[in-house]
Amino acid sequence: MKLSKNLHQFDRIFRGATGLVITAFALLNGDFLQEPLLEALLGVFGILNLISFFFGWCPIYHIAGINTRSEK
Amino acid sequence: MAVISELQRDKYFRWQLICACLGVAILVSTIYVVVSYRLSVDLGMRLELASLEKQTLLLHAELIEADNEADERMTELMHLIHINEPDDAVFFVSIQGPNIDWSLNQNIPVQDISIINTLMSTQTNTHLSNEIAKSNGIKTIGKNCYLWQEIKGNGYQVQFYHLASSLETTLDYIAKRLSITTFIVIWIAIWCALTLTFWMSKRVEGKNNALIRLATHDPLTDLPNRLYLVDMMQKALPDIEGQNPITQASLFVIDLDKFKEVNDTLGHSAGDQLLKKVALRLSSVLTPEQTLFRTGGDEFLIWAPQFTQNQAESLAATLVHVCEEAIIINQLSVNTGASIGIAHYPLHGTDADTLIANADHAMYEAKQQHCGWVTFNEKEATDGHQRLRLRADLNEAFNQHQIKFYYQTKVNLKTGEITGVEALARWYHPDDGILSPFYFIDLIEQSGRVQEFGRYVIHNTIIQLAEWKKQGSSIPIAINLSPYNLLDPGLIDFILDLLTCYNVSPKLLEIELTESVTSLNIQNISHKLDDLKSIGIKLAIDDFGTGMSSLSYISNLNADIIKIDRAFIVDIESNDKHKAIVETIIALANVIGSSIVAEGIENEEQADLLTQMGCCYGQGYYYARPVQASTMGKMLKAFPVTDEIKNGS
Repeated sequence: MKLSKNLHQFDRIFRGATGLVITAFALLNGDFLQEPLLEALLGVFGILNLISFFFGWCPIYHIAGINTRSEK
Repeated sequence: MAVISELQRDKYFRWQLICACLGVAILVSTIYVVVSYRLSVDLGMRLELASLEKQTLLLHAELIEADNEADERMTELMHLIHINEPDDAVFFVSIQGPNIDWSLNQNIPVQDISIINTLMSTQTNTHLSNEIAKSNGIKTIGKNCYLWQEIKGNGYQVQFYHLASSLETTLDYIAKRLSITTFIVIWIAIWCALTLTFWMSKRVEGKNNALIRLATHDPLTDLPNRLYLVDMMQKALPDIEGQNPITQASLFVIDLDKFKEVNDTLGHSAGDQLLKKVALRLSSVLTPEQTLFRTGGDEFLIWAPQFTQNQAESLAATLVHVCEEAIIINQLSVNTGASIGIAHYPLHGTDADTLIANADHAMYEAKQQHCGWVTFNEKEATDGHQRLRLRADLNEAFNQHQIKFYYQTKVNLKTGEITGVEALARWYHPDDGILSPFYFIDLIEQSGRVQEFGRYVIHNTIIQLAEWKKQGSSIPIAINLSPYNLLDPGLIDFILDLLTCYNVSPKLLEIELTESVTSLNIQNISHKLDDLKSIGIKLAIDDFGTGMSSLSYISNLNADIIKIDRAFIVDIESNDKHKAIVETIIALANVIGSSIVAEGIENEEQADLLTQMGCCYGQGYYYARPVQASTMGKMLKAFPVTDEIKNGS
């Protein structure tokens, strides 16, 4: 799978912020959730968003043939 | 084109799929959240009720043991039970017995207590043992949900009401987990929707493209077809708002001249090979802006946008040249020519249908003229349209007797006396005025009503003969018939019946047959000609000299009259060759015993010369133009009729 950037700058920033918030929430929510499975899932989502933020590339966009980068 | 637009990819298909996926995800999540929430609340209520029962039983048991210090003991116990609860805990305890009447109310409104009391009195007690009975339940008053428990036994009655806290606890513990779960589910649903819709729309698009290709391309040559062309032209040509993507363009219609021969002699597979090779050749001379189409059979079209007429003619010449080069089919060299029609936008049409029709018309012109290519000509097209219109009007012409007859005299060249008349048909067309036979004889022959027309001519002629006879003029009328009329099996009987009916001599009827057509059909009609002659009708060969002029035909036909075509008379005084031909025809006619009539005499010099050469009869503008029947009737009265007519020769 070729890692060609497919995220628009806004999309990228949005994902970075979302990833940061969700990962932080998954790690630091304390006793709020009290559900390890949910925390793990949130963690995965958060990290995936952060990966998208770092590389400017979304695997789902890649599979779905979407490219927000070209819509500059 | 409707078909193509129907096959176009639905732009909203993917969005509809995404919305459907998200809708399903949200619906399923909502159902799960609601059911889970209610389940949790119910479970909490049951647990709370069980706890309340235990607490009430404990209070009851303590009452029995406490004896005189029941009040203090109950206060202490209630403190212990609710030690961990906040001060705003809501409950009510009422204990009644032989030595105690104690109650404790914390934050429950008095009216709520009386409502629950009334409810309790109507409830059926469950007996735990012979001494103890209990009842419990849940009562919602306003926004508050109360749990209540009553224990009766050993002379004591304990009532305990408690505000249910399960709703708040569930909201606190369950709802946040469910909402985060819903968030994750919807997120996953979005991923799935994007991926699935991409996959599905890809498949649908693939099928759609295959259908569009099938509908718009010729499977043999893989060239786009007429549907594609019309769609393309409609997009390229200006729309209603006047936006004009192109300023000019040329449309070529190419038809292979010898495709049918290849198909018939070498088979259809050879024909298919030929089409493929021709398609390749034609494509090879086109630029990417020009598009080649195959519209069926051996017809190709080329759409060349921004192409001037000169460029079009140059390309047409190249295309003709390309098609004339030999093609090897089944190891045989096949040379198929092509006829090309060109229509130019906007000169010859501004819409797709008109341009195609005009280019088609030009192509047929090219085919007829064997000249390779022809650019559409407005006048020729108008003539073609007129012919089409006249063909449609022909039926009305027959029904309304719009075809009438003019008469031109034939005279004795020596004496100037009238020896007969020739009936010439004229169509009194309601829109086009008076039309000569040039405009409609071909149409009648092509329409399959030639025999009907022949009978119409004969009928009118015999009526006219009868009319003139009444007026005292017995003059023969010559009518022009097509050899196809002589194939009419009932013709002889039809003529005889009419002659008898109107009491007209058959000798007054002359039938003129054109030599060029007659000579080709002599074998088929010779018996019929003999029959006509046998009943006394005279036969004349019209336009002699312009056809095959076969001597054997002349001898077989035994014509009474030979009419020399006007082409030889018009310049007889100056053209020695024509003069010689006329002399020969006259000599020949004398030998075989036929009379000679010279057509188209326009001046005295011609008349004198023909007389000197031995020609006895003539007709032409020098003597009289064709006139209507009434005028001819007057002329016949004014001029004497020759003795030979009177004698019926």
